[in-house]
Amino acid sequence: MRLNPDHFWTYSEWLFEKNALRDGAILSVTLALLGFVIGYIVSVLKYGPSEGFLRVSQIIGQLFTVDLPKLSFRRIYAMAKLAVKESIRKKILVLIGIFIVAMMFAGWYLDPDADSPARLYLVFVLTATNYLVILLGLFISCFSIPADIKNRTIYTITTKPVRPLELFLGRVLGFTAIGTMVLAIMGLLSYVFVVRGLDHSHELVSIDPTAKSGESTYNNRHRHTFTLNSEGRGTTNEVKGHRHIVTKVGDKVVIGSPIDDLTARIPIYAKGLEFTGRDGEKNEGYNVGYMSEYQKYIEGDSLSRAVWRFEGVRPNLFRDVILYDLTISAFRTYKGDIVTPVGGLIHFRSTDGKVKSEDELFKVKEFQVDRRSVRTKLKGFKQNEEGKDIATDLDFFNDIAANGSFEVVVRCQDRGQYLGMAAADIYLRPADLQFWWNFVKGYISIWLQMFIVICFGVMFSTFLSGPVAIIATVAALVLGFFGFFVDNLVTTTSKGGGPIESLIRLPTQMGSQIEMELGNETLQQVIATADRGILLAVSQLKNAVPNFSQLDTSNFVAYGYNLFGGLLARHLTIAFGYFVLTALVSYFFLKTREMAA
Amino acid sequence: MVALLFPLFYLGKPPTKGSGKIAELRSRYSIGQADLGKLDPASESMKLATLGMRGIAASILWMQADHYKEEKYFDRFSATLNQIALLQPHMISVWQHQAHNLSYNVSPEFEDYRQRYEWVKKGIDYLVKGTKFNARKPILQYDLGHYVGAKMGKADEKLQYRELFRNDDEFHKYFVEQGLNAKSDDALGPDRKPDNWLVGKQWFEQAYQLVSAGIAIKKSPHLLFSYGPLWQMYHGEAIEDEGILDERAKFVWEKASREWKDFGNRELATTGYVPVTLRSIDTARKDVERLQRQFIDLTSAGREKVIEAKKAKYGASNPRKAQAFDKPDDQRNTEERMWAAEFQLAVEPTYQELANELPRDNQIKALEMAVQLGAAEEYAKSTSSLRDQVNYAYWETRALAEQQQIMVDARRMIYEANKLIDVADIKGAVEKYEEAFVRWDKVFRFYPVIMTEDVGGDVLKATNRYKKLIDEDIDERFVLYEFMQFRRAYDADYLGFDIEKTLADWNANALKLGSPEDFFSTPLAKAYGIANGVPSPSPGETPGSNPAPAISPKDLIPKVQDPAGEPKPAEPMPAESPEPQKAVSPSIPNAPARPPALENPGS
Repeated sequence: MRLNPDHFWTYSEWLFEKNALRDGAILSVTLALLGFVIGYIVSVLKYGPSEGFLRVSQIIGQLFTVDLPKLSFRRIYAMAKLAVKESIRKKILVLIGIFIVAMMFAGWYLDPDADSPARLYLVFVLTATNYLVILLGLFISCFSIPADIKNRTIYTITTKPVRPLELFLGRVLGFTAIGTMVLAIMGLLSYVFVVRGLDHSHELVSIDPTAKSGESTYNNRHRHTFTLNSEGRGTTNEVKGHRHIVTKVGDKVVIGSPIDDLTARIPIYAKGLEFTGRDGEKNEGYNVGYMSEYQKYIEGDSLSRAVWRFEGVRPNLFRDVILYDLTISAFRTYKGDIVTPVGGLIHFRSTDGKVKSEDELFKVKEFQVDRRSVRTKLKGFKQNEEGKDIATDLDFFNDIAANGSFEVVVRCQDRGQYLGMAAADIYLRPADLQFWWNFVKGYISIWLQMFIVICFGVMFSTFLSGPVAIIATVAALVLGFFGFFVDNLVTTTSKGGGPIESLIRLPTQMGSQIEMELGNETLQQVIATADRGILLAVSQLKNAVPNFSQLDTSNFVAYGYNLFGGLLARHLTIAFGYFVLTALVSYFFLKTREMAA
Repeated sequence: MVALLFPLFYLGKPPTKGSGKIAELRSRYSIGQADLGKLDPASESMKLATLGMRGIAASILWMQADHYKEEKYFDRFSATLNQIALLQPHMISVWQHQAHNLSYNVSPEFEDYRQRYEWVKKGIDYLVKGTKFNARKPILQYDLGHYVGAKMGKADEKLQYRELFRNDDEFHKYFVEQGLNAKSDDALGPDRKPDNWLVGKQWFEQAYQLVSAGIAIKKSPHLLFSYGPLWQMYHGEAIEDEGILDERAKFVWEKASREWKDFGNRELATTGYVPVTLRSIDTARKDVERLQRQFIDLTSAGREKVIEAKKAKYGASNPRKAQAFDKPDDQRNTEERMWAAEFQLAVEPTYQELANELPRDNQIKALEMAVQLGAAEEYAKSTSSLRDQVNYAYWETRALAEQQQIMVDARRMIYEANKLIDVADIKGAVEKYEEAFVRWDKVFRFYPVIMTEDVGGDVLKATNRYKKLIDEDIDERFVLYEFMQFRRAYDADYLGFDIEKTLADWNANALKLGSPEDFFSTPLAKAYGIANGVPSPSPGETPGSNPAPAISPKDLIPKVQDPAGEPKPAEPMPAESPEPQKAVSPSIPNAPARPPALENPGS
């Protein structure tokens, strides 16, 4: 799985050091000012400058003096209940049926030959659920208030009296409740679908009694081999992302259910990764020519190495053995020995470099998780006063990681070959989380996206008609999912120009890689300037909507990594921020609608 | 809208209701869904789900697939390709392009060769799926022939891939399910397991069946039909490389020889009007010669007159070229030589011009003959060109040679020598090499053309290994010295070494030798211990346990000196030293002096 540096930020780091709080505050203030100015302009047009100002000030004042202090949870509950009933009346639950049908046909499109079927299954259910639930949020939230206005039921509601904020909160909570119910059912169905879809068993085909190694039957398009220890226990080799526990009971060998395919590793990642080049000097790691620069490479049989720095690793997380995983890749400059994978050497050392463990050889297992371990009592070297390495017995947490900080050093063993790595390609693995809980966390991420969509939908519906509110919310969604594309256009990383240029290129069948030639330079300049203006405006607008692609955490669940608590907390904070923002905007618009009425 | 209904009605009428225009066209060009291939519910439902935006959806998926490939999310890449294929099942380039991506681009990204093999299989599987959706596109079967044969059989990992393929029972079953009987006798190798080359050949044969049924394929027929028998030969080569060096290998080559011959007898369409058969080259050349003779007889009287007339005409407009032409060759400078050649070409009369010179009575006959001659020349030229493109003569000779016991023995000895090197038996390896080289010398003398390609390359590598083992330079007394000279020149394209001439000389000598059977019955062959009856090791016999063929260097000394009636090689060899001690001697401790058998018996 690809992890970016921002994934590693702790909650407080993100909030304070990475300026999330500041950016949120700036966004809120900007929007508040913008709202005030627009509201004032509208009021001025309707009531004149002084009365307009008075009315806008009144609305803001009422928020703090009346509408917020006098919020009634009973009324909010009543509004929410109404929203739920309304949704059920609109046959929203049909969506669950659609989801069941989608899962029934999913088998047609899921590749049974995939290297890791679990990953495909999980990505499918999470993505399908995500899209369906977002659509649900979109449709139920955008039509409700406009329908009330159209049917004039809004007058009944507002004269009860229900405060504008209560109207927004009631709607949002009601729709969220119904969405949560649908999501919970989908989650349950998905879990059963994944677990049942992946469950399979193998029988024994043959076993060599002397070597205690054997082979399983071919089921689900794969077979396993295994070796048993002296106690008659062992695991199969890893095929299609899973293993099986094999035990010998009497004369019978029993191959158990699959393990490791549905997992949630709790990784402890390094705080940093540094590289040295072939001359031993620090560099940024070599680029072997791949388009993706996620991994950097070290050169074999040279002074080139990768050093991960771990901090704050507590000894109580590990007993006698420190478990760690490698997901390192290899790049060959020559074929060499085809059968043997490229090798590397790994050792652990103290941060001052004076104590280090013996080098351990590993062979690259590309695109697999190489589960490895090192004993806490281990052999290694200590530097004496003359700076010479003296072989000695070591205790990991006393000698190497005395204060929980240590380094992991990896070298490539084969001359002329390269090993590729990123910061997340080595991690300690003290324990695994229950898969179902990680699955639930993944669904919480989806829930947050749905919640934000509902907030936006209800907000837009307070001042737009249903269909227009849908378009506005979809626009916010598109910006949230594909905002990076706008940035690419602004920075001209993506070719083809802005919307006007595209409108010319499409009918004239002009490819995006060639320069636009209209035969009129001035016209081209005008188009380019207009496009740039539009793109910059859209780019600014993009900053005001949530980045939905960042809220997507399906990869954590699919690749079997615990969804960090810090990351989830960040997402919760973002959702809450947008909730407050949309509530305020909605309040303002509902108030102005009252004025209009 | 109402007005639009009329043309819609006319165009869209179903076939059962008096056939609308679209239905008629679909039927005429066999492009109805059912004609194209299987109707897949998954594909159809996916197309419907895109609500008419299939093209956009496919483009987005294509971009997504590229992204996944760049970022090495290969599982998702593969899954996305399946979705693209379901959206556009009849777009052949999707199947071809993405199958290539899987087998050739993604597979090398994996470090473990077993994973690489799985990804090669994914590409193959993708193509197989494509054949189901596109029943009338033999290009997919053609590609499958290449993937199963060449990708698995020519890659650096060919030993591993072939081994994995042989034992991949599930994959064989999958092929059988898909309508290719990969478990039939035709597809089984010497170990009675499906061989990738032979299964690849079966895919070609499926393509041939479709092409023979009249379905077009964008491939030159001579190349298309050459692959089947070629794959049989590559199968022979592969099993020999893997140590199957006995009657089984000979059988494979015998079959290959027959198939190559059949291919040579097949009528192949060309860009010209007349199809050609590759084995008709001798007849074609004879026809040209005969017609040329007849035409010359008929037109010789007027030839000089035509030439003179052309000289006068061309010379008038190109006086400097005419002057250069008239000069003696030794007095021309470089430029004048070029002009003279141009002049010569320009004044050469055409058949038409020669015919026109004849009296009116003979003119029609001569013109008819000129047309015949032109056609015959064109035919011979096309045939020769196509033969060159498929290297017909080489493979024809190679398939013949590989059936000979002497060549099988020669190969086996090199194989055994290589194995002995692996177990550090240097003395044994040297002896094996020496025994092999004597046989290779004979093979090359009978079939010189096989010195040119892979076989010659392999033998040259063996001589290099031998040289390293004996740690001495090899001189002209070495039995394969001539071959080595030739091969080095051939590989490096030495300007001073006329490869064509050398090869032609060797070929001429080979013709004088007659068939190999003649040679095997000669006293010299007996002296070498080479005869058709040389026992071959039984399958599975280890090199160490294999009795050395009956070559006793000591016995050979007097006999080699008296090769009565033995044909001489094309190039005279330096006089051989009578003292065996002066022969190239290995510097291996306790090794016997290098046997004179290794010295050229023809010299």
